[in-house]
Amino acid sequence: MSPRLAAASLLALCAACAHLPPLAGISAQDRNVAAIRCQQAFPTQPWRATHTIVATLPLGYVGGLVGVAAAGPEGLRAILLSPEGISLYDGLQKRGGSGGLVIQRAVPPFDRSDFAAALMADVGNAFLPPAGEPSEIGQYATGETVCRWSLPSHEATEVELGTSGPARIRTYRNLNVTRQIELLGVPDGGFFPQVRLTVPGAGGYTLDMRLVDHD
Amino acid sequence: MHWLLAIAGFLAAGAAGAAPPAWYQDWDGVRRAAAAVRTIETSFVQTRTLKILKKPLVSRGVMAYRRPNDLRWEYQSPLATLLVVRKGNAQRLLKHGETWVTDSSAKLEAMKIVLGEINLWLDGNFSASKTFRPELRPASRDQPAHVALVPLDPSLAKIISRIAIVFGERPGTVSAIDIFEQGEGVTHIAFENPRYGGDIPDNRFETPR
Repeated sequence: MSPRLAAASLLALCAACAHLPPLAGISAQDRNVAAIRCQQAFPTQPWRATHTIVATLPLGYVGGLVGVAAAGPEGLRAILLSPEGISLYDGLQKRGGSGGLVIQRAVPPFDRSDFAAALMADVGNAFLPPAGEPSEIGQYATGETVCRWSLPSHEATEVELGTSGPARIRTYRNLNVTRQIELLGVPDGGFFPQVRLTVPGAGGYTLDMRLVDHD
Repeated sequence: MHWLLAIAGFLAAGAAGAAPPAWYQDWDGVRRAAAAVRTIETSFVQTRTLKILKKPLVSRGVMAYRRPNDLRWEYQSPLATLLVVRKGNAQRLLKHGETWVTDSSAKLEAMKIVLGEINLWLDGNFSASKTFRPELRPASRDQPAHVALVPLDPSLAKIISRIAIVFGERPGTVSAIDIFEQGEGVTHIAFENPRYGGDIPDNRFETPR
């Protein structure tokens, strides 16, 4: 094995065995309260919601859309409309065993192969709770209370609580933040008036979503 | 944005109050009516129905048009966007926070193609359009008199199957526009309180400073 390959293998191994920093323990009562408050980051299903979306893309490109999303027994559906009402994308991420992503409509440039999966991940991370109970509930070294779901494939989701409720959602892969979602304003039925989703990195982007309507 | 310019041109055609009631019976009538128009200002309500929504998505905005080809198409809610066409130059902006920024999603190249045709539409010369095939359709039991614009380009037809421009009760006016998509969905635009022939200052066709 060449030294370079050995180093790469070692790095991969370290990433595979690495963990997010441990959370400081809190009392059982605080854990129970935090578990309930963390769930308030996500609306209760079934739901439907409409948001305006301002996307800030690499190289400073900015675009505006209207997003309609719904979650229920059949899965998560997301529709993107132009301001003029033209349907640009319509996809359904099926729930459970049937799984799979059904794209009912995608017009250029929303027909790129990687777009649909990224969009459904954006919507899913922002509005769908991780499955099951948190694997850890505790505090960062900086004092914020956090619920953490550790998932297979070295992925994790955290909900960070602020003084008045859920403040941020973060997703990780191999210890790297893949999405940060800021929850702003006072929620109504589990929907926050403003949600800002940031995907870091060279191809990263920011989605500023404002709630228009929900039921 | 193809349809916006088509609409602007045809609204202008509809604004010719001096035309006889049956001015839209044939293309010559449309051309004569179009030649008489100078300006139009109107607000509009856009209603987008979707099967998954209990209530339609409602957008509101204003439009201003000045002959020969100045246009302002502004959505004020829920997402503030602004299309300004001045002397053939198109700019589309988006309100991000309190600031207007250039909307990168605007397909300005496509718009330029259409702008090349706007004079045809303003002249009522729809049949020369390279983007839409126009059909004058008289009133029937099911629908009022309207012009149907059918995309010629199959790639555009995948997005918009046809546009119906519906004439109003008053001769020479347009009451509504329906945009039909392949499969699900119709976007309905109803114009409210239109004003014809007034002076519109230049700054209505300029981007915000």
